[in-house]
Amino acid sequence: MGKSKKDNKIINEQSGNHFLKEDGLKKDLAQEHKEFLGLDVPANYFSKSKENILKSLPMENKQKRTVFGLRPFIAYPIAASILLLVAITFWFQNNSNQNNFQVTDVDAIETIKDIGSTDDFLVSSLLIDDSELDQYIDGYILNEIIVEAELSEQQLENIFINSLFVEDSLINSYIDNNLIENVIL
Amino acid sequence: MNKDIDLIKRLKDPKQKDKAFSDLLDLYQERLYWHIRKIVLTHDNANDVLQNTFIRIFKGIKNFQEKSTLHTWMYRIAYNESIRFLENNKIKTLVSLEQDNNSYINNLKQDEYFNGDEIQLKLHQILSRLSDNQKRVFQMKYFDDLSFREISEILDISENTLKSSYYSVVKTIEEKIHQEEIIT
Repeated sequence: MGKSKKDNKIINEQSGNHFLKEDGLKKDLAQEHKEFLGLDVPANYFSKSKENILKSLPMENKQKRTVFGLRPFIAYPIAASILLLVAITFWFQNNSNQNNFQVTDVDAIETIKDIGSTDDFLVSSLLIDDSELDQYIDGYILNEIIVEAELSEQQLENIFINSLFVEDSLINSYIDNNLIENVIL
Repeated sequence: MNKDIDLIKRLKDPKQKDKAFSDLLDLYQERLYWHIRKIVLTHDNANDVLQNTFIRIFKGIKNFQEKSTLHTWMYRIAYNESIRFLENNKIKTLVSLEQDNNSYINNLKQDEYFNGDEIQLKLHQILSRLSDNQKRVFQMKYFDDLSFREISEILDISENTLKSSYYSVVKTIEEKIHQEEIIT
């Protein structure tokens, strides 16, 4: 395009040879800017620019996330109910454990008896108040030593008596056997 | 206009915003680029400003009150971003009549993507000598093909002032170019 034609294009607006529109048609913007103003752009600039712009946009349009596949207004009440159930379960458990640990003087002795072994005597004594310790010791001596001893003696007697019965039964069986062998046979 | 109304509706819908914004880029990216480029002059600067412009558009669209057209609103953002860029970088490309316009022409010549010949450089020189408002109205009216009403909304100057300023600039350019022809 020659210089004079370009000049006419620039200044002759009335004839319709407008910068962007010639005879009513809109011309390519890049071409016109290059032609009239000498301004150029890199090849494929606008497609690359679009990609860059889209990448740089702030992420504010992601879909709202669901909670465990459920919408939040359903999931949150369910989660709250589960938490409540767990809390109630723990509360009940704590209560029953506490009841188990309410040691009265009678309960202490019973508990300690349940433990049973004399080896636990020292440990058991730690669970009792000092004021109840004498009572506990008396109870321990009575129950753990004297009574046990009596029971042991009774067991010995039982063994002796049983052995007498056993001997008699053995004699009887001996006699019966001899009777069968010697008399009948 | 109807297309813009539909586009605004889609842009404000969170489900359709991403696709609508892609369509918006297809429609307006190039136009806004050239609008910006004529203010900041170099391609690299225009690229930066264009990106900032569309980020602002994306963020601001939900609050767009439709007091003006979408077209005008975006041009206004692009223009403001260009001016902000120039102020931040202290690049005096739109020099006033009292100031030296060498930096304007020098910046232009240094741009890798300026391939203008002598007459185009002359045109730029003439433009550089205009006042800021004269330059702006001429660029927007003549090169961006905006109406006086739209330019009035962008620059916040009355239409009558713009019209008189524009025709004065056209006359000045004609005279200058004729003077160049006579000299050459």
